[in-house]
Amino acid sequence: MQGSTRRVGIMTDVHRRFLQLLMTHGVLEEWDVKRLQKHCYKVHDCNATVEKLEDFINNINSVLESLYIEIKKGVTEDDGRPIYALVNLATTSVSKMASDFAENELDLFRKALELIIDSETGFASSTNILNLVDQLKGKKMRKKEAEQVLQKFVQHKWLVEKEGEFTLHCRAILEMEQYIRETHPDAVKVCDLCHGLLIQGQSCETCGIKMHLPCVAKYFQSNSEPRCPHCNDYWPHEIPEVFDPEKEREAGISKSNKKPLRSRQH
Amino acid sequence: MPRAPKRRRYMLEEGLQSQSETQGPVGALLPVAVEEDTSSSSTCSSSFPSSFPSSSSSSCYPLLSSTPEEVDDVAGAPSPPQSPQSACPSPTAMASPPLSQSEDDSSSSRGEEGPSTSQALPYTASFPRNVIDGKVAELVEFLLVKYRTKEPTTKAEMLNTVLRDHQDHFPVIFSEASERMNLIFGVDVKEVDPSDHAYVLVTTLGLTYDGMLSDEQSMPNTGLLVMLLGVILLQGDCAPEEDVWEALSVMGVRAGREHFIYGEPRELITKVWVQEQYVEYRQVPNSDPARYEFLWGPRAHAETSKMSLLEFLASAIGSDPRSFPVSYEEALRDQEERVQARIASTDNATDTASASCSTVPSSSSCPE
Repeated sequence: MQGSTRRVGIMTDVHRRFLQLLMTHGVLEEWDVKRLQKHCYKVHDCNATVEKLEDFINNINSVLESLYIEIKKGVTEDDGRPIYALVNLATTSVSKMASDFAENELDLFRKALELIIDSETGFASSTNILNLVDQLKGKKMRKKEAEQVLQKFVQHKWLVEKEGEFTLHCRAILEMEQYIRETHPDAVKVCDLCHGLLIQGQSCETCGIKMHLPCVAKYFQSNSEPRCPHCNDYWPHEIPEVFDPEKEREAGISKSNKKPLRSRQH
Repeated sequence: MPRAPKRRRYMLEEGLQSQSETQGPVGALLPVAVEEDTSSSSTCSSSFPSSFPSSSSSSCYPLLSSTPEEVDDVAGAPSPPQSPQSACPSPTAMASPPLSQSEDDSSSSRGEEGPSTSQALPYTASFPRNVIDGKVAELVEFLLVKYRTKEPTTKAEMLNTVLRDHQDHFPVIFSEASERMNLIFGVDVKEVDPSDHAYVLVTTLGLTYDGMLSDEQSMPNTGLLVMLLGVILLQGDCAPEEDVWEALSVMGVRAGREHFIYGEPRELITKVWVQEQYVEYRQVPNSDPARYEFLWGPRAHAETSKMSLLEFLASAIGSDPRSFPVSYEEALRDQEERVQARIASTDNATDTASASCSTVPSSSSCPE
């Protein structure tokens, strides 16, 4: 009833369904990914043992390699939640957004992106973004319109808004890291610990190195005297907690936080 | 890695060749002897260029193209085997050793690419395999977007965007891309309008409902969905609400009563599944007081079929679809219609394939 199971290499309907659904959701947190995986097994192959997620994903990625696509794992910059998205490795542009946005809207995104990357905090104010409206390529856009476009970016999970300021959604960081690094090689910031792209993070006030909040959390875990890994100066910032999925679920915090990530794209 | 100094190469469109050292005429597939002086990059290199040559810039793809010079290495890479079907031992092929633990499917399908390829093109062109792979990947990306946005596409659109510089090779690239879509993603590239070469992307996996949007803690209630679709089917494709609740009550599912698996069902079947487009819930015309009825929604029609559902229902009760004669007739009719539609589109696809390859393209590959 649910389609005949065809096995080609390692790809079975379990894997195909997983890919389809992951694609539909855009980006998913690890807890949801595990649920999704179990669901796919249940539908097609309920007697099989559910493979360990890491192996499951690695197997699929080996098949996707020839298409320059992969299931990429990342971590949210603010609270260290593991997330997953299907990412195109070869595309070095904002083409993933191209199907949903007009030329001037995409240019607005690029302008916002630039402001975000250049900013100290990783946030760009709405005002500053809207002031660039005259410089956009394509059809002329008014500020009022641009405000709505920014909201559209938020809905589609490319930007996140916090008190009138915008930063990149974790999905955008995951999907566009390569593009961002290539188009802003000088301005881009990098985490001193994991060497990944850094938009939000903490910086050492002495030597200026930056680190992701979850990287800081892990590095300084149960360290009463946190010191900069580079210059050894006292680390002046509050050390965040390491993300604990078990604790999250019990507290039920996940319910309200997860909603934004789990809306269907189309 | 030995270099082939002088090789008879079938020149491809200028767009492809212009960036390599070799010169040649534009467009038509004509044999020309060329000096092969490109450096010996690896054959059928499995590593993709660091910045992908997404040079087919259109309004859709991509907005800031990467360095197109990368195409040099790719285009000029010698592929010693003359025929395109010889499987380069590259991991890019789906039939790579670590993957094909199962015997035949991937490798044979890959092998089958060869003969059909040479049938599609008048000459056995030995074009760089990795360029084709690259275009296949681009086309797959394009089709995946169409799948996600639930938009149809046409051959013309594909040729104007992703395959602008590779019009001659559309049949090969398209067939490989379609196959990958099917085998890797379980998505069918279905021709719906042969005259227009219009295609839709549909899942082959049946109901894709995964329950991720509703209550986080419960397992997805696909089973109940199937039952509901079944009830509607058995009622002649349109089921009055009262009948639906009566049928569901047999499973212990009642409106207003929280079920330990399904939760509160009224919200689920009249709102959630309507939103998911699996069912339609509408007022019975001219009913006063208002009564409602359920029908299959577009997504149910797209993802499954009457026959599939009937077979499932029948097997669930240890019976046979023919135990439901009226519905069985209807399911047969529906099946026949689908088959006819498919035959019609396949015929046209074959005609089209042979027609398109004998066409010599005009110089359509002017630089941007």
